[in-house]
Amino acid sequence: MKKPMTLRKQLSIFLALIVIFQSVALVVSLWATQVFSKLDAEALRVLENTTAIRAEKFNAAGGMMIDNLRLELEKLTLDLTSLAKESQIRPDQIYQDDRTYNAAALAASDSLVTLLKKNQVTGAFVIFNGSNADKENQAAHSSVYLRNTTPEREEVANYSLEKGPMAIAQNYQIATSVHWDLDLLAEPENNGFDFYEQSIWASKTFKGSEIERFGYWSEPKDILKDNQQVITYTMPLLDEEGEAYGVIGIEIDLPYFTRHYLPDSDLLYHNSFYVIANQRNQMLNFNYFIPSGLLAETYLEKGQELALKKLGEGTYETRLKRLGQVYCSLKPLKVYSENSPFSDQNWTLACFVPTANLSENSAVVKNKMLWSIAITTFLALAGVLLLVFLFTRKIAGLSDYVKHLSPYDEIEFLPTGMREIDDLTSAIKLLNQSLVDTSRTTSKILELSLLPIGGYEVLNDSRHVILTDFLYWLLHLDSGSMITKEEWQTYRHQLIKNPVKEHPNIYGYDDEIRAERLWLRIVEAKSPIGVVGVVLDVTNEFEENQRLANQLDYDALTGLYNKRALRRKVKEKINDHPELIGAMIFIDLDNLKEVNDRFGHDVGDRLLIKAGQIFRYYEAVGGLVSRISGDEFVIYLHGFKSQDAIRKIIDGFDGQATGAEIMIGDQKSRPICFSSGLAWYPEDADQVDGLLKCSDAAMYQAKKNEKGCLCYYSQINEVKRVIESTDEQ
Amino acid sequence: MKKQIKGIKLIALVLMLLFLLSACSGGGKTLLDPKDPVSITLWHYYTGDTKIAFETAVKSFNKNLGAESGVLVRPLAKGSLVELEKALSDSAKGLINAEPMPDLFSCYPDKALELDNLGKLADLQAYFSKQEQELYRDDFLQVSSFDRERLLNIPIAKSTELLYINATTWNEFVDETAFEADQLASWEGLYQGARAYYQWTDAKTPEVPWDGQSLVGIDSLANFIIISNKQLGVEVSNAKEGAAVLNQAALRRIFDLYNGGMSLGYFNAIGKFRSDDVKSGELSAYLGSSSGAAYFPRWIEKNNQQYPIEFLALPYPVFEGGKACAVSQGAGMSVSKSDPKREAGSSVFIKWFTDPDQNVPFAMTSGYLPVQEEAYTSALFKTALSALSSGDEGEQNVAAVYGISLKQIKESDTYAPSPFEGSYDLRVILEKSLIETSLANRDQVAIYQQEGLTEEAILGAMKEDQYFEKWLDRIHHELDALEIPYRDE
Repeated sequence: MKKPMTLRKQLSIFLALIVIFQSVALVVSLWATQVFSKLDAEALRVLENTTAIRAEKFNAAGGMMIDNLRLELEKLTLDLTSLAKESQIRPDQIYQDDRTYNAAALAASDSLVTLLKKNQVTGAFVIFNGSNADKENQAAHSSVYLRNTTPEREEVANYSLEKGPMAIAQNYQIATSVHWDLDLLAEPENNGFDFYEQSIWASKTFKGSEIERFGYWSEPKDILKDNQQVITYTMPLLDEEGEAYGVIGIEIDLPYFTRHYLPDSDLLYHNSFYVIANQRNQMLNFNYFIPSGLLAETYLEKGQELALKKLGEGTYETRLKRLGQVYCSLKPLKVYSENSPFSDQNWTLACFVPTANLSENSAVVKNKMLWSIAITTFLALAGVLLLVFLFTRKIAGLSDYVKHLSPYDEIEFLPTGMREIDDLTSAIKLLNQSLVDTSRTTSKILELSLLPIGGYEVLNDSRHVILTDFLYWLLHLDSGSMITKEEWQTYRHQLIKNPVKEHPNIYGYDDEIRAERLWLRIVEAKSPIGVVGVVLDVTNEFEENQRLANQLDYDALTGLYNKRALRRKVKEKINDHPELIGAMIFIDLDNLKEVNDRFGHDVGDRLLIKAGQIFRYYEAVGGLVSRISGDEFVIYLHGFKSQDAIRKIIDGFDGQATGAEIMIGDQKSRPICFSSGLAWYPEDADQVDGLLKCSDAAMYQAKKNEKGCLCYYSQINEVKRVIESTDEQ
Repeated sequence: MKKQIKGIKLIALVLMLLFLLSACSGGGKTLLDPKDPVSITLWHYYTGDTKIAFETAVKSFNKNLGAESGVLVRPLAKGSLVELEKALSDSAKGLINAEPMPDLFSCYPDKALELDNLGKLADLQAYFSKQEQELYRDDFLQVSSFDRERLLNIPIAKSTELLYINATTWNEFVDETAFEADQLASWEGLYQGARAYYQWTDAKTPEVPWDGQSLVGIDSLANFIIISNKQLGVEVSNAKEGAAVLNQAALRRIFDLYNGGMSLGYFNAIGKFRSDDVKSGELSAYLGSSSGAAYFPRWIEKNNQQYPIEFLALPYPVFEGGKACAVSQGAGMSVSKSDPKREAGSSVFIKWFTDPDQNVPFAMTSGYLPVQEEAYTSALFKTALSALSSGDEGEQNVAAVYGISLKQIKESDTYAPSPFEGSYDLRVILEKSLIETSLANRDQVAIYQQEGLTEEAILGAMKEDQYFEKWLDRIHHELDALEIPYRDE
């Protein structure tokens, strides 16, 4: 049979399954609702938004900057035109005339200071079409170049004069730089002077167009040869015919451009960065690019081309050699008007975020969520175990209490605080009390009934044996003392060491202290939980039985065996040793009838007693002596090896029996006479009945021949015939 | 039982010592995590080439050690030193519209002390071990260590001051007037030289009176007043007393010299820096920082034309009878009190930047002196110096300045006043009052000139007590207004 589970185990498993099912259900619902994918999609959307906002800010700032530059250009053009007119020269000749140039430089510096104040730029410049200081040098261009290291502040004192006459520095009380000079030198190689040449080229090519069409953004370059990469935007200075005689421009150095226009405070993810590069179809070209900082410089290589995989409107996926898979959000920047000859430069703002970092939030949430579920499950399981333990503790305590309860203990259940359980324990207590009472009553009744009965119980899972008072009394033990199983085995052995033959479950027990032998009936019954036994003192009954059995076997008058006993005993002897020789002697008193008639039955009885005593002679040699009826005695001798040995015994008896007499009254005596017949075993017969018949026949023959003699059955053929004829009849 | 308690106490003591040791020597290094870099905002006042050199160095730090140790420094030029200091004060005081305090910033020791009094500075003792502090030149670090307990400012680059001369013009003057260049070793000699130069140039246009040219200008008047006092045996900015010591005799000599020179046009100050005045030909000499060596022009501009000039540098002049002494100055860097991670990150940058490997190339962009003792003996320094000497004209000028600066720093008494509460304002008061008083007196001189007074007579008038006393009264008044303690002697 399957072992039943404890209440605690059942409750624990049940509640634990509920907890586990709940956790699994939560995980499945998270998976089914695709919460984490939605988080990733949201992150991508946020990235796209951030890039879009940054692009809008840039476009707005750039637009305003271009507008400001245009306004300042118009103002300066007016100033320079009037200066040229005053000096009666063309504007393209301004640089050639010292006085006009000095005035032009100061006018230019005013415009540049205004530009620096109005815009978030690090420098502004005007470059003329030739050099005033070095007129012969075709590469030299008179310039006014002002720098502002703190574009956040409108502090003119922080400006520095990079190019231009000292008068400007004195005018504005600004410092000259280490590289201060008068001219800017054209660098024909590597597009080194594009910021000057390109806008002038555009003004010539698209003469008459609106001024914005000629605006040109340069790629980052070190214009002042001071290790500072700058980006410039230039517009041409045009005379009334639309001929260019110089440019005006603004400069943004890369550190400031990065800090102000591509701030990483925008970037929400680790290892993400902005870059401005050129996008064509699904390719991002890095022939030149504006990095937002160290990360962009580290992970992007000049000249490389990145193939983009489109994910959505403005979002792409690509792979960077040193960063791996990245998301990329692209937004075109409006830096040129649509009809600009430079519009193919296509500045695109790209925000790169490593794929893993974009999904970091969802990964963290996923991780934390799963951990939370795991921890919650674990805590809930622990809680379940604890609660079940607390809940079942009192019940288990009750069970344990009852299990270890001795039958002699008084039951006292502690309250559990659970009504049903407490009701149950009260009922058990009541039941037990009534059982105890019943038991006590039974014991008392037994005690009062004087029945010497006791019982014991040996339980498999108990170290002790339960005994009733009678057994304590029997074994001379203190009533109620604890008897171990080992001790009980010793006692039990004493009790059952003398079993009585032919009487199962009856054992003789010698009570040495009381110096008496008791007869005990001990019966045991096995049960699944142990052994139960009953011990009953049957001494009186047993002895009475024994006595009754004796009465049945013996002749009341002579105390010799009666015929029934004789037949049984002879059978036993023959059965025990059938190979040995025996003799059955049938004796009949010759004068019993006469004595009875003459002297009364008392004397007759005495005659019979006396004769019996004489025949007891054979008892000394193991003979069975019996009185089978009135005056008939039968003696059976067995266990001899020859008939002679028996004859010798008979001869010995004859010697003793001869002359035996019985006293009648005070003086007279009468001889005791008897006739006997002998039949040999196995010669004459091998069965009791046969022997009785043969010996009886021989005795009859003896009586017929001569009273008082012994006749052998083998000596009488007549007797045989008589017997045969009798049998035939 | 007693033995047990003793054992437990011993273990506790050992654990505590281990903890303290690790706290002292660890310098918070363990707080930094390359995976989660701490972003450090750095405010500085460098401009032009120095700014570019500094920001290039920062970029290199971010790319290398910064990336490895988890520190990302974001430099921000805050304009001039005055603007930087104002921005720092505003931030420290939490004024409306003020930016939050930067994590790390350029700062002079006196400003550092002022900010520390507002509870805004981190004590760098926790981040610089004794061994690390010993790497710095004693005289450079000393001034940053307040009360010998708190370390509030680590020197970054030092400079001294010297006399720069347009040798082309000067030699012409000397040739014609037989004036000895040796005389420029003293203030009195310089004054006389400037007067002679004025007269010499004035004489070139006899038809125009009083149109002589100024010879010399002084970039830092505060340094001039403090160092001159020191040469005359007075510590005007006296940290020991925590007060200004106004020695009238010394101040009188200083005032008479400067006021006389300025009011009569022997000395001048036109552009933002005196080097610019040399570039424009307004001056032929100036007293300025060795760190401005690169700014000394190779040519001057007159009427939009360039004229090449020679370069000459001489030691800082000394008052006759005074003790040779030149300033030792240079902003260091201080760290704002924030969290241990930011403070540790800032300290990592300072240590890296002041290491000779970085400090020497940075210093050499413009005549600064490196701050660690080892730098001066390093092969790197020597190689860089010899490279400068054999470089272009500008670099040769810088190399020449190094010759004098090193001599001045190593041999003569360089002096950097220790800060005390109010010492920063004292500098401003001294400088501003002297320049404004002198400029005001120039107007008086113009009146005298128009009245036809001779140069001697005007000079005599300028030495009247009233002018000096006016200046002194102004100083007293302004010190009182700011409750800066002072003592007259």
